[in-house]
Amino acid sequence: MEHHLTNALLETIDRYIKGELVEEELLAFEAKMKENAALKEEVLIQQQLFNTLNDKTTEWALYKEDPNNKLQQELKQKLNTPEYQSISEKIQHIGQEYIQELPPKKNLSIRYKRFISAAAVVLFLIVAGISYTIINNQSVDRFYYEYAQWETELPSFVEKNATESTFAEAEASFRNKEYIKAIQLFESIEEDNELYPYSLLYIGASYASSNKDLQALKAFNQLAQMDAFAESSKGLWYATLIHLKQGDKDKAVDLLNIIIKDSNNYHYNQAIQLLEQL
Amino acid sequence: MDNNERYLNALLTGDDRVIKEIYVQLFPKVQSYVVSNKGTRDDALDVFHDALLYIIVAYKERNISIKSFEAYLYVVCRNIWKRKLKTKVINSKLDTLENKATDLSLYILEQECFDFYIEKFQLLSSNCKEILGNYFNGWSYEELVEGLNYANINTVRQRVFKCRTKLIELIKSDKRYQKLREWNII
Repeated sequence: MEHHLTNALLETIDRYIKGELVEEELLAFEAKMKENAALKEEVLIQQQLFNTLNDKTTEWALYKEDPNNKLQQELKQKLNTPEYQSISEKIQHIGQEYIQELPPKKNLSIRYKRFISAAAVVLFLIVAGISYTIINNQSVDRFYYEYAQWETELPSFVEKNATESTFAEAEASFRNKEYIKAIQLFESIEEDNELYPYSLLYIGASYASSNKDLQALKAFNQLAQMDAFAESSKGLWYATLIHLKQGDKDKAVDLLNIIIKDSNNYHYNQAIQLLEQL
Repeated sequence: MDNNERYLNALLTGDDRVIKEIYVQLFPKVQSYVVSNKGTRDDALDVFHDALLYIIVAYKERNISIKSFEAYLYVVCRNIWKRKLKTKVINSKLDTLENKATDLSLYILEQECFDFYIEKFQLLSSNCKEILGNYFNGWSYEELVEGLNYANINTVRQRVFKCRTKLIELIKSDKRYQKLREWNII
């Protein structure tokens, strides 16, 4: 049966894919698909486009085992040949060797592990108003994962300066993933406190961990503008990472170009390297 | 020889030293991605193994071409992990290829499909890519108006429709699309 692909039809397909059709609509639409192979095909195309082009989709699988799918069965047979079996074992072996040769982790890094997992949640969040394109977005987020090694990035002050109790409490909240509390405490640190710039760092990281990228950017930008602070250029670097995570390659490149103007800037060499890769 | 060729050759010839280098250079960010998305380091190792094997098989049996080894390996790892999360087939403990053959064979078809759609998408005008990229990432018409400076919802709605129709046309007019259909999915 033929069908005409109108905008209204496409929009219904979208609502079907997103699970937004209400019961009656859903039943009617499914009945239509059953008797109209061409319509079913359109739905599948759109379904696959959503899967392919949506960076936020964290789970998807199209294919199921099918004895009638000749190509799949052929590939399966190939994979079961001794040739591929031995290649597979070899790769596994090299992977194990690689892991065993890694230097042992520092204590500090374990502490921040929780933070990294939380920080990642941010990553796919798209803030309305920030325009980016899918071309950029296809894989620039990989650079975020390469460089945003927060566990070694954020300095800990708990042991160094036990008297700064507000800061210590804030840092503890941050590590316990109590980001709202952490932000409140860090925000109470006065501008004349020597730890103030570091509190901005943590505020940025806390916002990033609670899916508030715009506020995270604000904190990192504020840090970047603190000329009197020796490590202010860290703000530029972290803001770059947030842009990358959002797939906003253009904004990241702009910031990187600022970083490479001064070799004293934080992660100057990495910035050059990253620019080349982008 | 650049790294793209060097890495690919190493996989095809089984060069231990260079394969180790691939782990050193590229595994950390894959680990970081997997650990950030409900996985462990062992899961990441498993994904990385599957991805390297995928590249070998797809290159030998399906004639894929790879422009950037690093970017492609990362995308493949990301997709494999998404598939594992969905199908709940996660083999944290090292598994034999025999047990993985079904999953990997399915994945090979899936990635081929993925590459096909991306290739067609890239043929669109940059304006269409921008608007559809955001649309398929869940932006509403209102958000598109605001984020991309369109006059009103109606303009955006028409634009989305035009771009989608163009994309569908590009997909359907490609011979490979008929192949995908034969694989029974479409």
